[in-house]
Amino acid sequence: MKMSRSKLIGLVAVVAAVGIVGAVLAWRQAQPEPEVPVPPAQPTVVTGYLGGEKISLFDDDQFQSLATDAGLSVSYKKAGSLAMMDADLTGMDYLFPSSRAAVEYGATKGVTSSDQDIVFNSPIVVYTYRDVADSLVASGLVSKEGEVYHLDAAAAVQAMAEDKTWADLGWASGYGQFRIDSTDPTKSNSGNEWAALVATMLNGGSPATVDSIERDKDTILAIFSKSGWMETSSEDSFAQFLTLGEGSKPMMVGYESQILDLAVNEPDLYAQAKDDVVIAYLTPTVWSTHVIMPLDDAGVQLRDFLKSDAVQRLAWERHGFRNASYAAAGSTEQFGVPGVVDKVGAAVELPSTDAMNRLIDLLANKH
Amino acid sequence: MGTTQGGERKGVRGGEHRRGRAAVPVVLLALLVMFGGAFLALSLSACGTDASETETGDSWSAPNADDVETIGDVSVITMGKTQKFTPKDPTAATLVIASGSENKEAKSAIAIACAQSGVTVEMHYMGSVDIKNLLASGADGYDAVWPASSIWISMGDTQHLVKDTQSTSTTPVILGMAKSMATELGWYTPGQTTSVPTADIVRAVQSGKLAFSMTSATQSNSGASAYLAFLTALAGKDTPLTADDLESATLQDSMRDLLSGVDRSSGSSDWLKEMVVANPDQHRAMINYESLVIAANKELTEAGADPLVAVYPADGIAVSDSPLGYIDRGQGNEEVFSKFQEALATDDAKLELERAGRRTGLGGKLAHADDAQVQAAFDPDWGITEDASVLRTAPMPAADVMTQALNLYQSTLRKPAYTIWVVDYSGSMEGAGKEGVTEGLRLALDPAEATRYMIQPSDYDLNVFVPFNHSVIDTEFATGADTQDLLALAEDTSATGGTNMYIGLEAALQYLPKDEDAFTVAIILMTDGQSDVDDKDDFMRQYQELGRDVPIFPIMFGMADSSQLEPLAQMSDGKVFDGRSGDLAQTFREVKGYN
Repeated sequence: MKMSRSKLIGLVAVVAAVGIVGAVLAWRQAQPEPEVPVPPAQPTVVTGYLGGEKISLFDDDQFQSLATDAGLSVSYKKAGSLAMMDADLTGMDYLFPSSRAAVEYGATKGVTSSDQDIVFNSPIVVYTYRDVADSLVASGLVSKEGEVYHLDAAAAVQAMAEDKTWADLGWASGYGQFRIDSTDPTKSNSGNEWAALVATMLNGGSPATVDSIERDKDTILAIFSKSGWMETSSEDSFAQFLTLGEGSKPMMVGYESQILDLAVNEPDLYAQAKDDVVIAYLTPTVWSTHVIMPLDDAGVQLRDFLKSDAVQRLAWERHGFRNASYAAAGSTEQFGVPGVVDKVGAAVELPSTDAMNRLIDLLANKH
Repeated sequence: MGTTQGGERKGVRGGEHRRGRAAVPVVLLALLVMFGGAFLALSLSACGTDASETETGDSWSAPNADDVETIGDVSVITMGKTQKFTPKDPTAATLVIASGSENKEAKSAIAIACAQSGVTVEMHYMGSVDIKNLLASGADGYDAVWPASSIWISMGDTQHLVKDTQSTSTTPVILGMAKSMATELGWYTPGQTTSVPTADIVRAVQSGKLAFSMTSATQSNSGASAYLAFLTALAGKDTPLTADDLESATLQDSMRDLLSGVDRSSGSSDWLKEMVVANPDQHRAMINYESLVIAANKELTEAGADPLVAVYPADGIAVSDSPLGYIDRGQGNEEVFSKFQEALATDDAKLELERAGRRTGLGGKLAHADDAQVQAAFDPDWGITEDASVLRTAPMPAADVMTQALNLYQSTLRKPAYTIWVVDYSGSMEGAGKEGVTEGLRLALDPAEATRYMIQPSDYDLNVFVPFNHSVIDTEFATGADTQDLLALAEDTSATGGTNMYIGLEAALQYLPKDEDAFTVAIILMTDGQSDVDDKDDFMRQYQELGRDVPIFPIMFGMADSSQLEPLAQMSDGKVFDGRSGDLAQTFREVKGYN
């Protein structure tokens, strides 16, 4: 292909212009965020309640050093997203739950923040073992496209409602009834969102309502009673899933971010789990929306810091959190985790605040 | 002093006891619900050595240390229920850890982690339920927790103090039993691992072919797990127990029958192992961690005795995940903690954990399966398998159901306790000694008081009170929770005269129940141990001639002298407790955990 001299000059100019603009943008990007102040001699100490799944981010040396640059000394107390709304807030600068439902639950308890903002998103997924997932393909509960596993949420809920055993569904060495474990839905967010999804699936896929929950309450209680003991933190439940193995925890609800975080930050542990543990994306799923709720000025400073590009990038690349508009701030391949999707499929809306409160109440009081 | 002749009192002797007074457990249950926060300071003072107060060395190199040894460059000093690991060049502050007793077997790994991190570690051994209560009360004085299972952290950490929890290793709860017993039950094939459904274990107990020891369900994780797994199996369920299940009279009766097969109870998993090792012919089976069955077998083999055979419940009992977590009370020891935690997760430390019979790979796998000592620990000839699929957990009930089930155990389902309290009222016990004794009796026997610590008497328990000085002063019997007269007598008896503890113990032998299988029997001797009359040999001969498996648990008070007490405990597979310093409630909880 031939190109005229003028066109060539034009192209070179365009390339050069793009390059300059890009360089300027990159240079700007590399500059400190305008809203982040020059570090004062005494950093602002900021502490609050943090959902367990974000602890690895907050403990990250790179996160801490970015915070120091921003003049912050960030600390936390671990608490479930719902539990933190009922906790003693004395001396706390922020709450950082993992869902809008938790924020709304807080509002009903008089816990509000006028400065709140969405910081991250992560889809609720089911963690399981390759042999378990593969054996459930034949019954249609699980589907597999290449490396990616999907779990049919409606079919799973129906199988639990019908007291199907693992063997009924194709996993012969599973003991007892088919169940998907989660954290305590009355205390921790991942369990809470799972409960919302269960109630929504029982309502034919439309967001559950106070009425539909009333109608389906026995089934909802029966499904959750299959798990019995439940951890109160998503971090602990994921750790237990990995530690105890498929004999104790064949399937566990969690956040997509958890395995990505593990792969980056605990490569030795991940290497042990890599061949066995798989992510099953729920179809449909629900999004866990991580909302920062500043309670004072220090909390507002933390919010601005969390929203900065540097933290957003770090949160994806090293901890697997998708951004406020549900996108990955980078490639999925960098994690070396098989079966991670670029774009998460269909998600359901969370039920209304009234319906969520009824659901929590039902699961807490068993009636 | 307000005493009456023993013979004229209720005259409950031997195995007679009343059954079925239903109202009492309900009240106890209600009280238990309230006990959460109330536990507070009581359990702490005994072991609450504040990190900041504890300077390296001094208070620890006290001459009465039970045991001093060196592992690598780390000195390990054992004093009672506490163990201190000091590296040669301590570079960091001291870490005070509330730990399950099973971690005594992880000594080498802890020493390696101390050497690598430069951290000095104080291990305070206690039951899982104690750890739960400790957390609920704020864990003053402690930097970290290390129970057998995460469940106890989740249940106790109502103040959100614990963070950075990581599992250090896993080990399943299994049955270890004499080869002859396993063979008779058809559960032993040389070189193979036996997996038996829990329902079959239940049937073997019901048919009288299997009697076993386990820890107290209300004091220790392995006992609690086994109890809950058996309840689930008896309920015929493959889903977790519910509150409704627990109401069933049929279920309660079958569980009571099953627990009647418990031949000894214990407050701690590690002591249970020691008891079996000390007398394998008497205690032929135990429910315990795989790692402690391995530890027992190493000791038995070394002593030239037959090792136990491991039997794995096919549907699972429970898995210990041994989590180590930091307690954030604002004391600023995080860095010291993470140094130690990281050092405990290195290959060197994990190798030692696996040599001690723990599993450190994910999902119950061995990370060092090629190491000769690890292979020796997971010996197929003992029925032990390194296969990760044996890590199975029976479905655990929800937290509220679990609390309810444990309470049911203590107040009505466990094998009734028949306890003979032989109490020194000699002149030397006047003052602090007598105060300690009466307070201790109250903590153990006053139903309202004891319920707070889950050691309350059941309707079927029997208590015999034998106060003595140079002779037996009196005798008082109490049935079930009706302990007021006994406690009043303990209060009203004055401490005077000389000491002859053997005359008190001889009286206790006469009060043993005729049907000893119906009870967990124990003689608890509370004394300052300064008997002026040394009839030891005479008494020991009498005890041995009786030929019954009754432990003597001496509790030291006043100016105690343990030299007269140790032989009694050793002869009877008992244990000496210290009631002199610190927290009496803690001591009595522990004593009651053994009976």
